[in-house]
Amino acid sequence: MKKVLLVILALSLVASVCAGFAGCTKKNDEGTITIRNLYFNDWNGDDAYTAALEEQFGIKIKTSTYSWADWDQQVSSAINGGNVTDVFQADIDSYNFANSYAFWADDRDIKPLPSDLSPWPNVKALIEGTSDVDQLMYKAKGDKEKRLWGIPVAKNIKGGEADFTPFTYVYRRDWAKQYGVYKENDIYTWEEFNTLLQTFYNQKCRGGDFYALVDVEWGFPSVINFYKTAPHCFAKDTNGAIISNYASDKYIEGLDVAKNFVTSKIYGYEQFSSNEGDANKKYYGGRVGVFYENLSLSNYTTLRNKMKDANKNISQEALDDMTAIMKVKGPDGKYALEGQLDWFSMTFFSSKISDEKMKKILDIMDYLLSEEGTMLAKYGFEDYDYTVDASGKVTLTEAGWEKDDNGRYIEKYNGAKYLRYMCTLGYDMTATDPMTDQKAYTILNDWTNFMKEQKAAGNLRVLSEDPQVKWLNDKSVVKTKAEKSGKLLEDANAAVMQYCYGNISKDKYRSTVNDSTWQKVLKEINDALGK
Amino acid sequence: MNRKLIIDRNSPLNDFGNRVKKSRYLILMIIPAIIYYAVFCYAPMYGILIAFKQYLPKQGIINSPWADMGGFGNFYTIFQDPYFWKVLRNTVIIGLCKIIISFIAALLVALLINEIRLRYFKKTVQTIVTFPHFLSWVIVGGLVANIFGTSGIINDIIASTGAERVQFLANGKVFLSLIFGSDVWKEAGWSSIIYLATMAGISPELYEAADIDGATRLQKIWHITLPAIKPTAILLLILSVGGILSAGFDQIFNMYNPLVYDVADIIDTYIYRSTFREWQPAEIGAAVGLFKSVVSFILVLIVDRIAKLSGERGII
Amino acid sequence: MRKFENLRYLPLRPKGSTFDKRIGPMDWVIFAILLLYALIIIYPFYNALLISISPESVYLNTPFLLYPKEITWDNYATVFHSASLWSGVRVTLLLLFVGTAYQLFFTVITGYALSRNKWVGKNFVMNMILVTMFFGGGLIPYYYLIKNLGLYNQIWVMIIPGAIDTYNMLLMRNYFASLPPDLEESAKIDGANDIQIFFKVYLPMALPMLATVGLFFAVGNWNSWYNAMLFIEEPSYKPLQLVLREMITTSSSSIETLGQKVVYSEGLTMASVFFSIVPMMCFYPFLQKFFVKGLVVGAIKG
Repeated sequence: MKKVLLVILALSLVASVCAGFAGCTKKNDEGTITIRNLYFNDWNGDDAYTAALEEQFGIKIKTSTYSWADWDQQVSSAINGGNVTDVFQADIDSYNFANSYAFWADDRDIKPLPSDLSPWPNVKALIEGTSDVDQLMYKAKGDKEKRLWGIPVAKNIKGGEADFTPFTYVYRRDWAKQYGVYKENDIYTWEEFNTLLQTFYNQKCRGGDFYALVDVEWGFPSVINFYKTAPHCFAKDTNGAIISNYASDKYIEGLDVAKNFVTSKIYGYEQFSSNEGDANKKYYGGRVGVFYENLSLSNYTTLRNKMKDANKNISQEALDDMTAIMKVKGPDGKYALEGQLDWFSMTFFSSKISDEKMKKILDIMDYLLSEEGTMLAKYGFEDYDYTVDASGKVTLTEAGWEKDDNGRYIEKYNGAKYLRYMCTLGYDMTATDPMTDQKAYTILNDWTNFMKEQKAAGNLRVLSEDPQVKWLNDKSVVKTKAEKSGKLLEDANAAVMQYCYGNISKDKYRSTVNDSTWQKVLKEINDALGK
Repeated sequence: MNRKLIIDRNSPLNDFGNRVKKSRYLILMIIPAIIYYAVFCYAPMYGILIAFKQYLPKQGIINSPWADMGGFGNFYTIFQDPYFWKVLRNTVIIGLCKIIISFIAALLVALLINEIRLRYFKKTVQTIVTFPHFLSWVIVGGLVANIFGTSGIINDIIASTGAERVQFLANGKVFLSLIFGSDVWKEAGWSSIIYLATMAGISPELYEAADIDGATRLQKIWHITLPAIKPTAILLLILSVGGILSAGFDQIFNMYNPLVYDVADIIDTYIYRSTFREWQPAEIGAAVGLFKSVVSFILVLIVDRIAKLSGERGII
Repeated sequence: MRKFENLRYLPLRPKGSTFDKRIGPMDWVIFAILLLYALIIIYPFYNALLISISPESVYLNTPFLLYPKEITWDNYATVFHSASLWSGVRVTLLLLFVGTAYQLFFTVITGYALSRNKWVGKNFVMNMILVTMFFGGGLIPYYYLIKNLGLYNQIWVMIIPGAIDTYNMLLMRNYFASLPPDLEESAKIDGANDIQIFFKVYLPMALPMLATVGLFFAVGNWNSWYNAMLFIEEPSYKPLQLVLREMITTSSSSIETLGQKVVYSEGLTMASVFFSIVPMMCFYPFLQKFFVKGLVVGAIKG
């Protein structure tokens, strides 16, 4: 019996060891591509368009979605557990960049793109048309040359998209008109903007559940844009040396304005709230006068739709008045907007996939970026979803495109469209996409064109970071920056908020955003740039 | 832990064989558990190594290189970081306060409910107050923000008196009260059950005798009820000490905001943020986690020893 | 403690008999306090219910929503028509029945075996199990384990790793230990072995405790989402709580693509929250006594 017991114990130990260590990793299945992405939403890859693509390329496509709430945990545990899908996407922003992209490349968790992209002319054109892409060229540990370790999900700035973000103010023009502070063409000088906010506060907000100015959660404090000289951590002083943006005089000047807005209740709503989406609800709930939001087309469209739902039976003009976009000049008489990167997320390939499979994936991407693929992604199948007449005019068919009660087209799951998000956010097809709300698009487009003109005339300050500093990530040169920049940014943002709400003094703020770690990082950067 | 780990060494081997034979069916019943714990708890335990490594996913846990300073580099990094000590302090403060406050609250609720004589009212109240225990913190956190936010009902009431709206969530001290308050809201009813059940076991004769002596209600509570539940209460307090360093990740994570990091950031939220928001390498989180496990374990051993020295039953 | 345990066998105090029977002012104070307390507990639920049955325009424009001004069932209609929610319900029901039975089986036999006196290696096993309450390998090796066991993206990943819950197992063990031991001896004299004794003698006696622990497992399964979040990719395998969580948290995400993102209104979120807690609300009052029993056994004798 003792023997039996021992054998059983031994067996269970062996079993546990097997379970824990054994490399019983399944061989990568050559016949199926697995893709995981944030933009797939609730599309599950089960539609006729995906089936057509599968047949065309002779490969199965299996898709899954990261959830917005937990994608960071899902990506990082999959990487750490050696279990990423063949193709996966992750946000690679400047401050996460050094820690994840370079780390993954050094560790060979991801597979670099082939150095010669000429078999895939559309992919090649897309990458070449993406600005700042050379910053992503990374010489990984053990490599002789720099390589590109994934496809930046492009916004197409080089192809004509603006290089500034649509983070700006949307406001209640109807209130402005009612209280006599409306200015023509929605153009406000700094003084007029302040007057408008004060008027809104006096007329509408005092004591009630109304707010003159609300920033979307991660955009606070927006008024600082008119003062600061760089968007995030690093700014330049007059000699060209890199300094802490948060500790710069300009920044602190703006911070005092923001603090003043908080104290005087212009910012009456809790900007630090951890519940994202509250600010939006406040705005379309009619409780906010001026709202700072990322007015991307989808956000703006949603805001307008929600506003319409909350106010039954309002006219188109009234709706436009309730969601007008404001153009505000800073104290220096110039507009100020944050600069926009050409990408903020990347599509990666697992290092486990074979070259053949990678080629197949690139084939699919290349097709989707071609003219034919774009038509498929935008409209669907020719002759079923749409017809083209001799002059090239596209007509949607009733069978392919259903409309809802409000006359909007019902979104249909078109695999081609979703798969295209692997390499581009699809700004190139916005104008003619049937899903685009043309009215919202026109308003946004007019605003963008206006700002582009202002930029050309030198009236717009675009706050963008020196790409050289931003993407400086070689650990042998800037070790502390590579390891700490994410933390610096997070701590600094917390300090900004704490200062604005009076929880810490100015001295405490200054010491937080210029402490020894900052000094170390700044020194590393300046040394690396030879300043 | 106080018991001898292995059976008596002096017993002859054939006695051992006999005993195995005698208990073979029980051993058969325990085998699934042995396999389960071996596979799901002990097999992954080599992951503790990560705390001493410089983890490279591609190499795996075993083959990743050791951290510098003979493997203790990660701990050095953590202990060097002043923020870690702040977080540790917050954790201990929140954990301790939560234990004390929720203990008192549960006791109060139990005493109040125990004093009720309408049977149906008693049952209904008990059902209502225990129910929030089953809600998740995502939901409760949302409710708290709704109620105490600038447009919440509390502020509506303040505003209706003509006063200015107050931003409760911005103030560290108020925020801590909200943490404790919502914990009481959610758990006090549930924790009171145990005291109520103990109170139900008190002999009615004791109360009758007290009545004859003309004792007031408070006197009866003080001299009869409280002494009767003392052993249970002490036991529960000891049990909760092991959880001081887990001051409630779910709750804090769903409620806190950057303004109150100074007082509300605890070890678990710090691990979460540094790993997933700032993309710090996995080994730092692992090292903090190991530190937490070891300290909790030691705490439990100490408290257990103290309890035994003072004549109470131990827990291990 | 031992002296105190004996008190359990005393008859419970007949209601009202031990106190002065008149209802004094103190009773009213206590009554008022508890009523207020109960109202504080109920109010958030009531508020959530109000939001879920009010049209968005009413909810957004009324600061003090104390009673329904206008009732709409749209939100609930949307919830009931949502395919992902129903698929979540299906998965959760599977967890609820299969998972609970599975966990109960392993937890109970383990608890029983550990409750019996003196078998070889018992203390060793017990101590090894207690250690796991404090130390674990962390997420990464666990992830490897799940992957290597072939459980990744399988519905079983939400069931199999939960076979034994140490805390509930100890509850079970304490309960078995508190049952009279002479039953075992007489059964042994009749020639029954330990397994037969367990099934024929002790299991029937432990049914109330089984119900308690089973309910703990059921509530745990109903609320579980973490393993699914990490290990499930297939949308149709997501349990209800994960679907809900994604609904609640995506309401805010800003997606810069052109795809029309689904925006869940406050009312819809609250309706789905209600949808998930209503079954518990309905069953809880009837099952409450089982929960109570478990807590008492666990804590007094733990």
